[in-house]
Amino acid sequence: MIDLDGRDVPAVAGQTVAAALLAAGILVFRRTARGRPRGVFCGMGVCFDCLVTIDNIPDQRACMTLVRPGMRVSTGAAQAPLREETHARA
Amino acid sequence: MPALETVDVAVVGAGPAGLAAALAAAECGLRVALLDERSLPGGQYLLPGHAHGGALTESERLGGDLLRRLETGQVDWRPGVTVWNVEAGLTLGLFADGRATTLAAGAIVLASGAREQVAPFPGWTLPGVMTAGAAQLLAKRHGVLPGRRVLVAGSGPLLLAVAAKLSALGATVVAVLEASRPAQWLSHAPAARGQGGRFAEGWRYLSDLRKARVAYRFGSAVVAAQGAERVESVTVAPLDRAGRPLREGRSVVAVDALCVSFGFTPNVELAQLAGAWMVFDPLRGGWAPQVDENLESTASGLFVAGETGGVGGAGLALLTGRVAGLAAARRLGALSQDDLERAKAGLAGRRKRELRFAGMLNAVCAPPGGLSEIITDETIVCRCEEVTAGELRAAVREAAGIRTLDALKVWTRIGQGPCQGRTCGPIAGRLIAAEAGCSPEAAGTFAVRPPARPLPLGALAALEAAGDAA
Repeated sequence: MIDLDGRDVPAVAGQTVAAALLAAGILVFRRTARGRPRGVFCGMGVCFDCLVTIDNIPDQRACMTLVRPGMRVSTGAAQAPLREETHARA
Repeated sequence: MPALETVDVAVVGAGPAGLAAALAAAECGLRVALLDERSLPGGQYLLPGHAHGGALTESERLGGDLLRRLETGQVDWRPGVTVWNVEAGLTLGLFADGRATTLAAGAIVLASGAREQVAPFPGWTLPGVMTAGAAQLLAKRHGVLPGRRVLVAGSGPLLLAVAAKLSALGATVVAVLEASRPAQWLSHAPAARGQGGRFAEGWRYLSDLRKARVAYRFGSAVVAAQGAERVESVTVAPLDRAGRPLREGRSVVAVDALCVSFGFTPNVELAQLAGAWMVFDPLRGGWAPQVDENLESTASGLFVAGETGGVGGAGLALLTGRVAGLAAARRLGALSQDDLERAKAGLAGRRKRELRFAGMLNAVCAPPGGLSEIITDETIVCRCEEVTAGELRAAVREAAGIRTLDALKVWTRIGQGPCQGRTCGPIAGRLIAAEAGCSPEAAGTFAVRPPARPLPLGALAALEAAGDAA
């Protein structure tokens, strides 16, 4: 199980976050700065469309990250060009 | 900055080419680090689960042997490593587990593969629209379907493989739309000599699809996708001989997923960072590094193997990987010139043959010129920065002097997002060519600067501090 926006979503060891979300019927992974929905596109780490926040680290590629037990994933965050948590981390 | 670590040979990418290169160099007694962003070796081609589809191809069998040899530990296999820089002095910038490091190598083999080419249309950013390769990965590795009612569209043999796989896993494949026409393939018939295995594979997929009653249609394409939060339907149109969509005969089809693909283009950003000379060749899939007979680029010590040197398929990747690995060993004095020449015997001929066949695929599968008519001014071209075709066209038409991707990048923000123009670069190159009446080659590429992949500033700062302390 992983925690997706506060609810339990089944996940299998060896699965990517993207695969777990799609298997659970979730297609919208985030919104762009203009509010448009995005999900998996290239599936191989090139396009950065499937960005989600994983364990409080923003902008992780769901297609390149393997699930871990207890992982917390949040979708829906806007990928704004300037964002406070990004700067706080840097 | 001094490198934090040193190896004899660093191989970037653990697909068929990278595996072959790493193991060949290790055979010569060298310390080899094999790096890949993914958590598993094998690349897109040797995915776990690839054996489920029945008989293995020769390349799958040979690649499987390499994967087993990797388990013996003769190569330092490092999964989950992003390479974000290559300096001409053969120092790599790496990022893994939240930390940036550097690695110096006596030789580098770049085997970073290729990525899918796509052609934009209104609605192509909707969730549920994905590349055929993405759907293939989800289905083969995870048994996850992109949707229940799927349309597969674009061009090339990958469409067949993906449609067959999705159908076998229980999806309803509404249709497979191939933009090209049979006549285009027949005009290249001489290049198909000696490629019986590939045709047998294609034939198998076709007969699987026929059994599942999936329609396979030449000369048609998706011209738009509709939906609010996700794709709900697609508009399909027949194409004329130039690939221009016709007004008559259009239909709207309800789907919950759309898989698109127009062949492949090499991943060359790291070669560009190293300063390697690039050549534009549509038969190789676009921009690719110039290499000599030892597969060495113009950046001394940087060898190029597999799709990165020109999209040519897994068989050629295995072959060029092995030769690049041995040539790297020769550079380091771990192999005699005679042994290298023996290993290379037959390479030139085979490479020419495979590239001729691949050249046909790359030429026929590229997005047809006429299809650019469907890119309305409102259509997003740069998915990261949400730059529209209208903004790009205006920049080419109205801003004097904008004829290159780099100028367009400064003017419109295209290519400035996290993917750094990997998706939109070829598309925008064709768009400039169409608007300005020049060739896509003249539009050039986006300049590549480190980091080649986004990484946290904190990781870079920590690396600087480590370098100062050293």
